[in-house]
Amino acid sequence: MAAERDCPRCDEALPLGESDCPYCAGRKKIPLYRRDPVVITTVIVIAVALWVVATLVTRAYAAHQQQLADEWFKRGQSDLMAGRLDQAVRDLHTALSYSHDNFDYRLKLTDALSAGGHTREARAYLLAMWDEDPGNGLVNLQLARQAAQAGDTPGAIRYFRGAAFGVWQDDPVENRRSARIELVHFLLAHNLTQQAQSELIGVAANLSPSETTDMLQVADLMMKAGDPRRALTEYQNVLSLGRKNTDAVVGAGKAAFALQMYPEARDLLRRAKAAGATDPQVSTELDQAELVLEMDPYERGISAAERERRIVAAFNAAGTRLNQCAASRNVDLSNSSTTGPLSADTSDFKQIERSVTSANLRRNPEQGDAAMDLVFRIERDTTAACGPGDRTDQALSLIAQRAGRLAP
Amino acid sequence: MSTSSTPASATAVPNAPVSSPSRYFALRRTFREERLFLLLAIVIGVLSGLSVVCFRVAIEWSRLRLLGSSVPPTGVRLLLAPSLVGLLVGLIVFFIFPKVRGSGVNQTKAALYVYNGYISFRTVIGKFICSALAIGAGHSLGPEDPSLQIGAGIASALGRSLKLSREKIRLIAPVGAAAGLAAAFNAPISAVLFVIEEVIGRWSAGVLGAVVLSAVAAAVVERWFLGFAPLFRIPALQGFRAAELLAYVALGVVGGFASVLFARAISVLRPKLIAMPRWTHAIQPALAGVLIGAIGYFGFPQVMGAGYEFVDQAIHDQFTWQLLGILAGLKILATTLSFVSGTPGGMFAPTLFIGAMLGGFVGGVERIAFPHLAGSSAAYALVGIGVLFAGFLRAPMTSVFMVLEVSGNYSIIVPVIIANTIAYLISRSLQPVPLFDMLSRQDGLDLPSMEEQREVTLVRVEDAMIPPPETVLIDNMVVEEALKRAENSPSDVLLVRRSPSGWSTVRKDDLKRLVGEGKPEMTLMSVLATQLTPILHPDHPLDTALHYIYDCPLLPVVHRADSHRLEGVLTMADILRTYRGAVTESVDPRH
Repeated sequence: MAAERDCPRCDEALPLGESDCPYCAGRKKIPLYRRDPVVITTVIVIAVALWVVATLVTRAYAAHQQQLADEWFKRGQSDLMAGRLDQAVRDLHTALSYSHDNFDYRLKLTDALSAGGHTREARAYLLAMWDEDPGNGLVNLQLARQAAQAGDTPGAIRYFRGAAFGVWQDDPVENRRSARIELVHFLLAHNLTQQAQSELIGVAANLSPSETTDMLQVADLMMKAGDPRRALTEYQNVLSLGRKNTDAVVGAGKAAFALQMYPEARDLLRRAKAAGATDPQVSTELDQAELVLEMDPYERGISAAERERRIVAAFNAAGTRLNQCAASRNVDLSNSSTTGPLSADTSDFKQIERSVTSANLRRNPEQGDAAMDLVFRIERDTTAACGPGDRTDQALSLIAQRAGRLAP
Repeated sequence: MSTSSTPASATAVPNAPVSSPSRYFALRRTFREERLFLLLAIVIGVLSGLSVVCFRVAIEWSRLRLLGSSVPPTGVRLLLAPSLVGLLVGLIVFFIFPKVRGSGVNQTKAALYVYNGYISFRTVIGKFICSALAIGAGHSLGPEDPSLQIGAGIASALGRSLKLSREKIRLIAPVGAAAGLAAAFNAPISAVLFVIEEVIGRWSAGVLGAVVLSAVAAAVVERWFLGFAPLFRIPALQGFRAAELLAYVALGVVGGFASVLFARAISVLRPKLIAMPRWTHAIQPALAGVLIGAIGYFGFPQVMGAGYEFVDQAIHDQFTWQLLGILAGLKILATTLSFVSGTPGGMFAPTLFIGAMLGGFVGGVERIAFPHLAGSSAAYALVGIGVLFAGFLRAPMTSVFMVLEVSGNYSIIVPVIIANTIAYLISRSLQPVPLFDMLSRQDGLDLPSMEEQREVTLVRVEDAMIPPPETVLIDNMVVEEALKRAENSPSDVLLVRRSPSGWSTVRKDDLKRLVGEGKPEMTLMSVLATQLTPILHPDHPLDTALHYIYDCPLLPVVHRADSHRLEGVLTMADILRTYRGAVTESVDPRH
């Protein structure tokens, strides 16, 4: 290394290769007491000027970035709508590079990624957004849908609940409710009816009387979740607001039918049919309800003679059903060595066949219960062996359930 | 009589004797400089922060104009921009700003150690313009190292304007460097550590406070203008299982070898290109631009420019493991081409890019091969960043703190330390000279480095001291008795234990002289008065003894808990013998 030389003016060492002193730079030496204020003032002026320049530059740049972000976002949206998914992903990535934290852009990007089959990438973005804002309803909902698609039931339920109780920017009440309804659909699809019922109770509790459409939707879901009692209450709530709501009448009729409240079911279903309900289930259930009410020997308010007539009719119908079923199954009921429920039922049937007459039943009312027990057993066994019978047999099965003599 | 009044255990080096007027001006100047220096550090931080903000906007503006607003860029611009701008930059560097070649880290270090802290403002301007153009046009380089040099240049210019002393001008360049880097990377702690590890090359308490102040001021300014968002948006990282550490060990091994490959490529190609005819230096950036443009045009535009958006995407698991591997390999190639061609720009951002891609790649492979071992993609990408930093830039401390600062998550610290250590050890064993030191040597400079300093074994007092002498005098002895005892000692100098504490020394000749003067009944206490000998402890660096040995030929080495308990003694001969032994035992790793 070459030897250092000192500046003859200020005695500082000259940097290697420099002939002029950078410290005093050939200028006349200014006294120390005058030098500091001048230099400090100059530095402050430079700093302020630089600050102003930086402010102008960064503002202009930020505005330009925002403009670019908006442009690319719009392009991404239109590409997404046109089904150009790879293009949409690239556009939205670009938009995000100009507006890193924009929630809408990121969410739209996850839509594009999901639509393009890049589920893993979409999930990574959603998880990052969830990490930043675990209470965000929309992010939770998207994650829940992804988890549902991936078959992650516990994860889907967790995120659906996050959406149902999360923070929503727009219309939080409606969004929370619809997230919860989506959760109910998911639970029903996975046969988790108990959990679905719990969620529906929560939804119903938060409904205001004016929201009849939502009340009907909740009531329908309650029916699907196997909770006709609460469903009927909801339908009745709707009907209390407007008796002409056909959907509510139909729903209430079905709920009453499911609850074996056949007189109410008949009335409601008749009203529904009269109001023009086209649901085929309405006609079927109305027919069933009317038949049950015509055939049920345990119906309150009927005379003893009518009760005896109904028992005899039911007994004969059961006998016919037993013979038809045995014939269709090629079971020889005349052969005493044949075993099985149908043979046992035949044996019992033959044993009391002669005694099931109106006169005998009038003399011995207990005989009626024994006959009906056999009728219910025959209906159960023939249904198990040959499938559902005709409308009379189905009505008898419903009567058995209504009487609590046969498990539904 | 030879005595010393230096306070016990004091280690201050006495100032050189100065005449009274000079002393007055020196004191005044020192006071003024000390007063100014910390204030100046903040001013430097603010100015550097503002400059780096403008620099980053200039890079973005240049990218938008040259490559278009699409991310990643597309079309024929990919081929044209890096090559044509490479030609322009090559010519500017060749004819106008010859000192702006390369990253800027070495140049700043050279300014500190060779040019007395001098960085011309012309270099600052040249670095700003050329780096903004080159990075914006897609050359595979980053803005951090140029920001570091811009900060250092501003500090140097400011120091010269304020006519600071040579010592302070030397120190002020790293202060500006830290500010520039902190503003560019939005990570003040990492910036401070990097400057200490790579620019200053040693721990210096004198400059640490100013470096920290300037880095913080610059980071505040940068955040004021460009927002508080971190460089990368890191998803929340879960804790890791112990078994996952095996996966990070594998990442450390792969990262270590990748670092060596990257460093070797640069170390082999750079001297060859420098050795080519001088006129070719003007067109080398253009040729590198053609090759980089071709990489971008034929399917991998992600490797162009600094590539932060793609690091972010890698962290968010947006690439397949195959693509991550390809991008890591191509980025090594593209960065090597850009850097060895002399295009101004930094290695910091490419290192982050390669590390993130490599981490993601290893994580992806492990997820397929050993699903039970693999963690999240973000964790792998982050650890990968640290691994390359430790292995390639050889800044192990910065690598750990940078990952923590960028991620804001301390749960990742164990994998980071393990993987970084492995990569660092592999890199050190296969590439003994760190990258920046190697670049300095290729430029004919021999600069100190932190790694070199770590190699130096500290020689301590305990290595040189000899057992305590049998004859130790006590200060209540009379001179005659002391002389009798001294006659039995082979040494000319004897230790005197003072009460209630401390030690002094007395020469045999002085005792004889006192007896000859008729003062045999005087006690040593009255003879020695308050003159105490400095004491040493066994763990003191041996350098400390050198401060006192000239005035005190025999130094007592005492126990730290009991100053009267003599552990040994030290003479000049012992010190010299020990230093001679240390020199012959150690081999300078550089030679």
